Amino acid sequence: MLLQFSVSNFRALRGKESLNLAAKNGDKSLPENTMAPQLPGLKDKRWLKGAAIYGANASGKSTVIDAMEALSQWVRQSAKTTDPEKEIDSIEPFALDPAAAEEPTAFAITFVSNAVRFEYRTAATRSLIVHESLRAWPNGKEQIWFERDWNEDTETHDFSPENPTGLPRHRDIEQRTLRNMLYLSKAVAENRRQLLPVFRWLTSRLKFLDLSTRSQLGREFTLRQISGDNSALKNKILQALRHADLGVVDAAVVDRAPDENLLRFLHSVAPDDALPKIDSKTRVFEPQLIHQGPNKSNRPLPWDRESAGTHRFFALIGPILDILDHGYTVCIDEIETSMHPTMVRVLLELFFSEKENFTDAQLIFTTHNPLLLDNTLLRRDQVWFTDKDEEGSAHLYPLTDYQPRKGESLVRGYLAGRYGAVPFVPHGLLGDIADFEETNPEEEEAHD
Amino acid sequence: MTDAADVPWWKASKEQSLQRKAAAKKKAGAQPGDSFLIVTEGTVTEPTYPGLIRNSLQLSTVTVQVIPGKASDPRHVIDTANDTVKDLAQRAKKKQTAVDEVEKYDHVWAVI
Repeated sequence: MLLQFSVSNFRALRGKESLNLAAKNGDKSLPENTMAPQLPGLKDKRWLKGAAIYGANASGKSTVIDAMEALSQWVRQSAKTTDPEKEIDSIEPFALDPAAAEEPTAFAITFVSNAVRFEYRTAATRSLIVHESLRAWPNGKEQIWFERDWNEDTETHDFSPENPTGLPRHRDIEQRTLRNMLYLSKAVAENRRQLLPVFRWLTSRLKFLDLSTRSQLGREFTLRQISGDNSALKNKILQALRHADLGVVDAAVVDRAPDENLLRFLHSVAPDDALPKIDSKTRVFEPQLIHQGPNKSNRPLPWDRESAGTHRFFALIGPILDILDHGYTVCIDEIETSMHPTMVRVLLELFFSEKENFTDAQLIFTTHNPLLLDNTLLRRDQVWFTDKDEEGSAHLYPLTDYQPRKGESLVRGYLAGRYGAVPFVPHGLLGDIADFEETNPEEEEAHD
Repeated sequence: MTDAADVPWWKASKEQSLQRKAAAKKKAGAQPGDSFLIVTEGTVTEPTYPGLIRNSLQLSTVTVQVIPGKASDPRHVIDTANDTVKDLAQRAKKKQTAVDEVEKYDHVWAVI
C-alpha cells in the first residue's frame, strides 16, 4: 500500500513534489474509497484507495508516474551493475536548467509491506549515490535500518547507524556495494532476506500498466488467464466481459498462422538470420470473443474486427482483477485511452468497492476526463493536478489546496481553469490571424 | 525545497511527514482559482493581464476575461462591466452558461 511518494529534480519535476495518499481528516464522504489498515504508530488513520492526476498535455502528470517507475526499475536492476563508472539510467535530472544536471535526483517513498510501514529514500547524480536510507515501523517506534551518505573527502560511503535496531549491519556487503549501486538491491542479491518485503513491494507489488496506444501489454496476461483450464481468475474475467456491455457472451483462445503480409514485410526489411524463427508453421494465439447475434445465436468475431474499446477493456480486465486479488498498487497513465467514460467509471468503482477490493489494492491514474470529477465517484482529496510554471518546471498539487465551496461543481471549476491544469490557449491554437496582421504590418509586407 | 540552512529535503534526519499539507489560509482579497473580469478602454493588451495578475497577486491560477469597453469613456467602461456581470448572472440562473465558463466573477475590475 502506497502512503506517499516524493520526488525532486526528475525530468519536468524540478523542486520537491509529493503525492500523498492520506485521507483528509474530517472528510466523511465516500468512506468506501478509503481504508484503515491499523498501522503501528498510525492507528485509525485512513488512507485512500486511489488518486487521480489531472493536467494539461506536457504538464508533467505522466512524469509523476514515470518517476515511481524509474525508482522501481532502479531497485530491481541495480544489483546487476558491474561497472562502478557506469551512469545510472534511472536518474534523469530536470533538463531546462544546466545547474540541475549537477544536483542529485531524489526519491522518497513510504509504503506498507507485510503490515509494516517503510520509508525508503535515495538521492543520486548520474554517476553516484549521495544518499540512501531505509526506515521501518514494525511496532510504533521508528527504526533506521540503514543510512548511507557519500563522503566527498574519503570518496566512499559512510554507513550509519553504528548499531541499527531491526537490521544487523553487514559490513562485508557495504564494502562490496559500488558507488552507483543501491545497497537495498545489493543486500537482497546477497541473500539478506529480511529486506525482501521492501524489495518485493518496490519491484513487484507496485505495478505499472502502460495502456497507451503503442502498448500491447496486458492482452497477453488476460489471454493466458482465459486459456488456462481452471484459473481462478478465468471465471471472473468472463463475468466481467459479459457484464461490460460489449455484447460479449463468452471468450476463447484460438490459434492461427501469422499474418502473411507481416511475414513478407519482416523478411523484406531484415536478413533471414536476424529474425526469430517465424514461418507459416508458427502459431499465433489470440483471443476470440463470442457475441450474441440475432435469434440468440452465438457468433465468434475475429480479433481484428473487435473495436479498439473492446481490445482495451480485454487488455485491462485480466491485470486489474489480478491486482484486486493480490492487493497491489497499480499506476495507469491515461486510463481513458480508447475507453468510454462509463467504462472507466466502472473500473474505478471496482477498486473503490468494499466487496471487490478486500485486499486494499490501490489505483493511481492520470486522466483528462472531467466527468470523473464527480463527488459520487471520487473524494476531493483523491484529486490532484499538475501544471507548469513560467520556468518550465512542473508542480503537483491537490484539489484540496483550493478549498472549493461545498456544492461547487468540480467539472465546471476544472474546465474553467479554477484549479489550473488546463491548457491555456487564449486565442485558439492558431492564434487570431487578424490581430497578428494588425500588430505586425512589416511582417506582412515582407511576404510580398 | 530545503528544510533549514540549505540542507536538501532528502537529507533530513527525520522521516518524511505523512500529513497532508493544510491548504493555505484564505487571504483577504484574491486567492488561487479566482475568476476575474477586466473591462478596459478600447485598446486591448489582453495577453498581459493573466500574467500580470498571477505575478502581482502571487496566485498560481486565475481565470481572466478581458472585455474592451465600447468607448474610451469611464462611464461606458463601468456600464460594460455592470452589463457583463448581470448577463452572466442571468445566464447562470437559467443554466445557460457554457460548461467551461465560470458561474460568477470573483473580482470585477474596470480599468479607466
